[in-house]
Amino acid sequence: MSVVRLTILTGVLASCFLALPAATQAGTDELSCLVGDESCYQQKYVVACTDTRTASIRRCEDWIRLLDERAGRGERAARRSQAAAYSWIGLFTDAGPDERAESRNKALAILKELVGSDASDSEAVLGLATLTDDISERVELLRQVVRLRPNSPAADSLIEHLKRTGLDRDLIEAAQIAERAHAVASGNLKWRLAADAVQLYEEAGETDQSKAFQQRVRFEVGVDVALANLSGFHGPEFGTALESATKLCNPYIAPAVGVEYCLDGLRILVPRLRGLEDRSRVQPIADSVADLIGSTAGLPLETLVAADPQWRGELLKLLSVLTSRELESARTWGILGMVETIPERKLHALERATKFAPEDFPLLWSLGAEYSLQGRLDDSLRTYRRARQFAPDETSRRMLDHNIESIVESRRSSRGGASAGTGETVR
Amino acid sequence: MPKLETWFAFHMREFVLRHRRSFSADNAQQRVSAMGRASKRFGMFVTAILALLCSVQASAVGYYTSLSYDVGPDELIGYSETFSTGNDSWEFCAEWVTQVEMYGQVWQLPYPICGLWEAHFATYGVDGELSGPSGAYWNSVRNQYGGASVHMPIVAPESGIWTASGSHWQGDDVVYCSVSYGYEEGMVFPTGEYCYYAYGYNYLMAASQAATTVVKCTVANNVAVFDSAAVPKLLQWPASEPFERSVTMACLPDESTFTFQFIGESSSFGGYAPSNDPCKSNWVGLGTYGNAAAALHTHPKFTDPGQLVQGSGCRGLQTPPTTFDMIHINSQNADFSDLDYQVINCKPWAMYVRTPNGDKARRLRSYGGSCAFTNIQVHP
Repeated sequence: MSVVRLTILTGVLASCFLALPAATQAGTDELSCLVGDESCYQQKYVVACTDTRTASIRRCEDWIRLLDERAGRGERAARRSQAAAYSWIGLFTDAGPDERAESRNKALAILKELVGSDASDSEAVLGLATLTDDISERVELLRQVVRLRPNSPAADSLIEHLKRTGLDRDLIEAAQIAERAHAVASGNLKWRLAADAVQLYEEAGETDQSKAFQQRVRFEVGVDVALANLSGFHGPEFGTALESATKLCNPYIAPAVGVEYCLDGLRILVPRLRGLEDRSRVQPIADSVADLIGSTAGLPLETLVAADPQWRGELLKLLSVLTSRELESARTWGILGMVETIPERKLHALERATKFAPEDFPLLWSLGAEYSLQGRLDDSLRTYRRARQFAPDETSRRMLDHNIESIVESRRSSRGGASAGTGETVR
Repeated sequence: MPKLETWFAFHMREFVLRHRRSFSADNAQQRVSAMGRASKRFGMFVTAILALLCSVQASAVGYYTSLSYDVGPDELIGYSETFSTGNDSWEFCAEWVTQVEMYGQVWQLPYPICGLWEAHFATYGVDGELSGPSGAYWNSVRNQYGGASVHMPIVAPESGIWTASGSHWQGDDVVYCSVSYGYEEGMVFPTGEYCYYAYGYNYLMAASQAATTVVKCTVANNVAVFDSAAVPKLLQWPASEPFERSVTMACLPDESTFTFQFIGESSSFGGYAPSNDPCKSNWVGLGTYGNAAAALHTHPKFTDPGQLVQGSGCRGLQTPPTTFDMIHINSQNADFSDLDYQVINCKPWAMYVRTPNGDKARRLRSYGGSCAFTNIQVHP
């Protein structure tokens, strides 16, 4: 009997000692957060459940257990954190399928209970929308979240869902959601949502509404002021001018107010960079403007076409100024190589760019690719091999290795003599 | 002035062409002008001698059919031609005349002339047929002087084996010509000729064939080839990166198979054109390379809310998100985004995404018809 007791006691003590270091490592040995301190709970949750450096399934489960007492007392923040932990295990870990399903169900149960007791708990409603498999239920839950918190990421999900139906009434609802989210958001998110609203109103055929909204956004952004700054600047005061152009060409702002203002700004700014003597001051500006042109070329195609159907030609004209002898650099030529579509010119631009930056990995990669696409396989191999020396990581090196292998393979097969059939006879 | 023989052949060809247009050709048009009369007299004589010497001859003929597929414009071009490799016309004298009966008298000609001759003009024809997975196309020409050819271009042919075949025809237009005479200063001499189209015929001479396999560098009909190139690359990328990475897959020109090149690697914070947005990378090369075929990218798994506001923020997000915001965004990242749909909509490209857990690659492609998002399908 005493042997049995001793064994049990030893077992209990051992398990305490074994559990303690694990809990200490996870930082969850004691619940040091104040009751209802969401931010503190989030930090502990990240350490225990999600951060790849510290988290594990076991630590996440420890975190859930640690919250049990507070959750049992009805603390909503603790219950939400438990639901988040169960959700993470259920969705993003390598736990077995049964364990994942069980965790997901536990998360759903907690979230349903939370939403049942308080339908204005936007965090719980969002959790429920994320986990539910029923599409129509998810859409309703997302609508509920957006009503409670208009600029939640749920707004994007709801907009995407509505957009994919292709129905006008859904597009209008999506546009209104984007507009409401824009009203309460700040920074880049604000302008991105504005651009979404403009585009959605257009797609729904509500052109007048789109134009009126866009006009308001232009006023909010200060488009006129930015253009006036650009038009009024003379001489070496590039700082404000560049700032104004950067604002007009900001990838979030430009689609919202209209890309034409960005193009106008660049048309004013670029010619004034010529003929200035202090190259050391002008070159960084020219490089920054080239970057602006590069990012402008990456804007959604429909916004570019709406601004100017010849947008690419316009950007190439501006880049021809930036690649003139007095302003050329690896950056200006590199951006030209990115925007240009005529193969010979593209190749020329990339070759020039690599002359200025012979160890620039992305440039060398692009030049190697362009050689191969134009059938200059020897040049391509040489350039890829050089690029490989400057690869920033193993992933990029492997991608290059694939390119090299495929060229070698292609040459081997073409030596094999694959060709289209012809028959020719002269009688 | 053309050489005598070609001068003659030229006039005969003109005659035949006129004759084909209208059988009631004006006699005046067939007359030789006064200025060329002397030359003609001599020309007819020389020609007749040559024709006698050469007797009947046949033209030499070549023929071929070709078929090629051009990846860039996505065009299959079938071509079939029958062509001349020698003389295309010949004639001979059927009747020599030394005297002419006119005004009830028999007149002695100053020299023997050819009073009736036969002219032959080689014609060419070809029937071309192009057949393959998208159907059969046919084109035909006949009675062409100098050679005949047919083009059979097909834009956006379906992948598979295509065959072009040519049936090559040769023909002969035969013209009879007789001399008309005039009387002047007590002499009778030839003043012109009267020609008429006698008959023509065509015969099938030979056939030729060419075949090619259209291996289009688009995802349509080549799903397995695309997947085998794209998926291993996607799964190779590190799953732990809390930002997006992308690369464009382009086809290397090769008629028999695909070889892909990965171009323009970009990530949110590095590569050729960093976006500075952890949820976005720039598609370098997708719109500027004619043979871009697919776009590969990762959707990241964020493990700390702070990662979502790196740089200019995930799609502009600049205040740290809530716990469930992060879970929701990661969950959404398992699928293609609205931006992915916009990039791929109506385009021939395929798009691949590696899901946040790093364990799965999914394919997105746009199907024909309208450019509605409902025409885009996701494949697990």
